[in-house]
Amino acid sequence: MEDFLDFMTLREPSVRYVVLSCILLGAAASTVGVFGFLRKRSLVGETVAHSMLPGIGLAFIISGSREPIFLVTGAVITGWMSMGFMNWLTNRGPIKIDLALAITLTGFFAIGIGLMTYIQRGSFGDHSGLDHYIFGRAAAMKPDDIRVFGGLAIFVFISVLLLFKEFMGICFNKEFLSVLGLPVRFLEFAISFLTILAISSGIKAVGIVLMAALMIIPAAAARYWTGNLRWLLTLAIAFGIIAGIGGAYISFQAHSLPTGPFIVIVLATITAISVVFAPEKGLFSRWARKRRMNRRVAAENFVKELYQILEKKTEQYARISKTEFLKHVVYERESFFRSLRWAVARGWIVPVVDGMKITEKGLIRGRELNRLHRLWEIYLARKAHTPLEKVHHSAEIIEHILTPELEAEIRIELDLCENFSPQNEIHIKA
Amino acid sequence: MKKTGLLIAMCAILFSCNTEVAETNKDSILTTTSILGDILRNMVPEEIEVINLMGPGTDPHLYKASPSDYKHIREAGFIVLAGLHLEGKMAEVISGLDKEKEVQEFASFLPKEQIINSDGFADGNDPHMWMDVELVRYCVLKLRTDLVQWFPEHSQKIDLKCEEYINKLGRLNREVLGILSKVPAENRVIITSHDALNYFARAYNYEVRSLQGFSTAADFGLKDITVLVDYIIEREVPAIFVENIVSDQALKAVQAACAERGFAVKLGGSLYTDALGMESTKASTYEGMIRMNAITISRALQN
Repeated sequence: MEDFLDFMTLREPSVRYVVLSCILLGAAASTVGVFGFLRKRSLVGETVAHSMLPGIGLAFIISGSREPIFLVTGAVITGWMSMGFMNWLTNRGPIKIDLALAITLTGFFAIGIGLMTYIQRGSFGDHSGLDHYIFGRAAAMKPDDIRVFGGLAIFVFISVLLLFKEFMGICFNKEFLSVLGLPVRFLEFAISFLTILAISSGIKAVGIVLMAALMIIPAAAARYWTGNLRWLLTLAIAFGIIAGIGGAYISFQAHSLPTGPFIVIVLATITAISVVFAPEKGLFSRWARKRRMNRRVAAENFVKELYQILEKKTEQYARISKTEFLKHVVYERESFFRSLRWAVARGWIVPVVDGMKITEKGLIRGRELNRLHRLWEIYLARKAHTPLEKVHHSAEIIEHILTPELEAEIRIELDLCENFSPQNEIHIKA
Repeated sequence: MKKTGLLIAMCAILFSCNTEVAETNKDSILTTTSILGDILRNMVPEEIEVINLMGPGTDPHLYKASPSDYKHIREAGFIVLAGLHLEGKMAEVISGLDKEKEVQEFASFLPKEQIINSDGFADGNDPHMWMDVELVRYCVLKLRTDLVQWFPEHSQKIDLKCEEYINKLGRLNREVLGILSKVPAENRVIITSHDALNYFARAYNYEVRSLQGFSTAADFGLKDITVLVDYIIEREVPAIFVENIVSDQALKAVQAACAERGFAVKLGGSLYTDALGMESTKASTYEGMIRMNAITISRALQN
């Protein structure tokens, strides 16, 4: 508890440096990442980050210095080169974007590793710390880093606020933007510029690998929760920040728990939670929805079958015994009771001794389902020229999902008057 | 018919790789780190070439062997490794290569009780024994016998050079002791980025603390930094030291945190631990490196 308070009040300067840096960098990187994600170019960030390694190596060999200003300049140059290379590959020839990304990433990174190996063998002087550009040292942040990331975050936020609508257009409808006369190429350049800016400011402190994770994962996790761009941005930024704080907090718990990897682990956990529990798109809610649907279909089939039995009879009573029902329809014991239970729960049927009784509500729903079933069969046979033996199967499915609006449309298509009913009315005797 | 031809061609390509029989180099010794390279150059006459795989300033923990290294290893007749698992995988490769090669581990001469145990290393032994000049002198003395056996035609010259070097190391040890004893007892703590100085600390009566633990390949977290900052402030340690093979970024972060808590700790300069300094510097030889370390530590911790 004391530990937690120590951490949360940011009393320790080192904790403060790391937490603030991670918050700022996480927020900036996930903002940029959202646009990459929406343009289906998530891996561009990853590719550019890896492509910066040869730039770092070359800058070191040429300048003979480890000053970040030289190395980051080198990184930016090869970062841009990789982006150009990717576009060149996809614009000319039969190569698709995923392949272009893979070729660029592995090619540039391999050159980078080659250069690093060359450096460690040659007499280039003090090259310690070059390897940190790959994996980073997120635990060792300095006040300078906070300033750099603060500047980055402010720049990214202002750009996104000013160009929000334009960026949204780039993501969803480029053609529309160019019809409006907006500078599409400039806007695409602006997104690329922000991407490279974010990566190049981050790699010195957190490394290529963590940088790529910070750009990709928050946007992907946020997409599970919302389809609204504003919310998507907000959530992605929140996830980036939570991961930054969480990673720092875990690494503050014991010795030798590196900060960077734990930031990624927190991000992965957030994603896992999103995949399982997010409303609508999450596994859990999809499973629950499917289950609800299955139950409704079973209950509807039950009441529909009951209706059909009554339809054929001359003497129509609400009450029917179980044995009689099972004479007309084949049910396994288990599924009979399950379907009955679900129909009862919906108020369509009331169980009585040795049988069941259809309610007013059940009659209405049964009539409706039968009508929809038959309407659909007629529609398929007349308009879609489907062979008659095939129409029943399709109608079994569609009867559960046809809305009143669709029914009206089908009636118009089939030139049927509003009162036409393809079935016999049932008049329950008391 | 065509297929058979193709098959023969493919077999030819396949086997051509193996037909090249490695010529062993008669008059050279292969070694790994730049430090060992320098020590060996001081033990053998110029006629025998000493090749070291790792350049100056290269961290042996993170070293990645390249194909040309394996070419060197294949061709070498005589190999001296640092031992105590410093070379990791490379040592396995070398010992598995060829039984005809003469391979000796430098640290293997040390009696067991001289080896420092710590949990952070493979099989629990700290490999950084060269930080204690006395131990190096001891191993040089022992390795001489092997060298004389390997190169019988140069035996007299080897004997002569080793004798000279052993005396030099003895003088070096006394000099270093003199330099390091100037530091007052309460200031005798050396803080570095990784634990390379355990032997040094034991030999010259210092305490050591590090950020990263034992290998530079292991990573540190936020806790390690805050604990180290607490320690520095509590003990009022005047200076902390960067190593030539490790980036100074982390120690600068420690320094900034100390400064913000109101304690000014200096960066005491760069220590040479797992690799020699560049050609042009005073630390480009083993002796120079040890002397420079002693001077750097003594200067930084005296006030």
